[in-house]
Amino acid sequence: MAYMSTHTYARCTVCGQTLSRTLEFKNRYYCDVHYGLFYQNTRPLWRASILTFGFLVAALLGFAIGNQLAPERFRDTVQSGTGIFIAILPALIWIISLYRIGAQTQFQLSPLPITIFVLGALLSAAVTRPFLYNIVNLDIWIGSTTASNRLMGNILLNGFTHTFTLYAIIRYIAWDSPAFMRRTDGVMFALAASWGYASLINILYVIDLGEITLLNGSLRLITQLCIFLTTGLILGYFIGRNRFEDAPVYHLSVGLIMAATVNGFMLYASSALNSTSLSLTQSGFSPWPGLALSMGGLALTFSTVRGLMQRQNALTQAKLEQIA
Amino acid sequence: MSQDLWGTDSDLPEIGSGLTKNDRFSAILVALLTVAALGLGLITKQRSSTDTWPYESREAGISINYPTGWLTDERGDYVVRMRDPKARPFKTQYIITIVPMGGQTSTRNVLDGLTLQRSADLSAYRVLNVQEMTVSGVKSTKMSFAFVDADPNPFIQRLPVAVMGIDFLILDENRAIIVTFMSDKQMFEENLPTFERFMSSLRY
Repeated sequence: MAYMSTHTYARCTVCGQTLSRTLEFKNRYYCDVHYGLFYQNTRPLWRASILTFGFLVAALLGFAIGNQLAPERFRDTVQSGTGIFIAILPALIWIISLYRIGAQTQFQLSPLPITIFVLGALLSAAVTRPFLYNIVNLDIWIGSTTASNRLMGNILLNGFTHTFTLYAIIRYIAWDSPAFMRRTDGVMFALAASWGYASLINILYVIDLGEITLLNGSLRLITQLCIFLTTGLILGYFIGRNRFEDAPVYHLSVGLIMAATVNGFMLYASSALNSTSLSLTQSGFSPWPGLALSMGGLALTFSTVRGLMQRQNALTQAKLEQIA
Repeated sequence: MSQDLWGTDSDLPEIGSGLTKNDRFSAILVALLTVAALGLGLITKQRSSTDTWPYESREAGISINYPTGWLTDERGDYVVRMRDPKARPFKTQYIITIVPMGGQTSTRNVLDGLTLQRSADLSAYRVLNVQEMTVSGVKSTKMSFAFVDADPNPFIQRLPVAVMGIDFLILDENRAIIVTFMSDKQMFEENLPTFERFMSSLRY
């Protein structure tokens, strides 16, 4: 029998459940449970991130002091096994502390960040690295072209490839998942993807070289990590907002452009700044300026994204309470 | 009530779900933007690969544009030699030589002189072809050759490389300008268009 109806129905943006009573916020519909959740803070995220960034600073000091005190044979080379350990350790600390803090504060976290972390690592090794270095031969070109071309190449090829990969992981894996239930979850997923992505880039860098120097090699790994985490934070902020608001069409594109430009610029600048003047006492290379830039960029982006998210969540909460 | 009477969820017009029209267009826009950025990046890369630097020799009265990043050397019995420092195992190179031409000297004499000299200096040197042709509107003689580049140091663990080359001999009043191109045989065809651009920029 043909059925005609003028009735309409809505589904919850988060869980997809058909709603008998529609609760709406900026053209997104929610069930009773998720209506009160999406503007909540993902508390373990900020604490785990601050803890891990603190570890990075401590590791940095450790490498600097160790380089002064260690015997020369340890300073010159760190074996690939140790290099890989240095490359993966910060990501492991972030993941473990995220779940530990979640458990301590009775904040339930889904296993999705781990899946996204692994996926980020796999895609960096299987897709972006072969594309950039085997098909486009970006490293050869970047190494021999002018400074303006290096900047353009880093933004347009490196920046957009890395950022789109991170975006695609979250947009096509996490976006429709019921585990993506808060704005700040966008930042958490983007950071998880960035940790996996950057860690594998670093691991492959160590494997390619066979061994790295204690100070310069380790600082290079930290610099790369900071650049990709900064990219992830910017991307996560825009995805997190867009997931729970029907934002204008250009909103995510603006986020992608910002994240890709920052990624490309930091990759360019961290390399360009590390080239210092060559003299009898200077080798023409110092890892510190690039590291300072990337760590400063990460700290600034982290505090900005955290502040903006918290402000928007507070405003949303106030607005919803006013409506209620 | 039966399902037929009340219909199902899918029969009802949906007013809200995970994806809105903005979300769908946004996803397309992001993909297009990425493709556009990568395209622009690849064009920038392609253009910069064909970037050139000018070279001028007032003494020889020639000017030419050579690929960016190549090294020039004026210390040999030539006007200039330009080499690609990144080429492995044989460095792709262009050599410009000026040979004085007396009234009795023919193009053939100059090419034979080159052949005799190279036969002594280079392993397994062979002339492959000599032909008259026009390059950038100028009549010239093209001589193709090949030789084997082997390191004289017997302890160097590297296979000898087959090298292919071309000489363009251009007659200019009482002198001959010889522009030589040499490249690893494997990369010869790939490097030829760059050499053709180099040749077309020659002014004398």
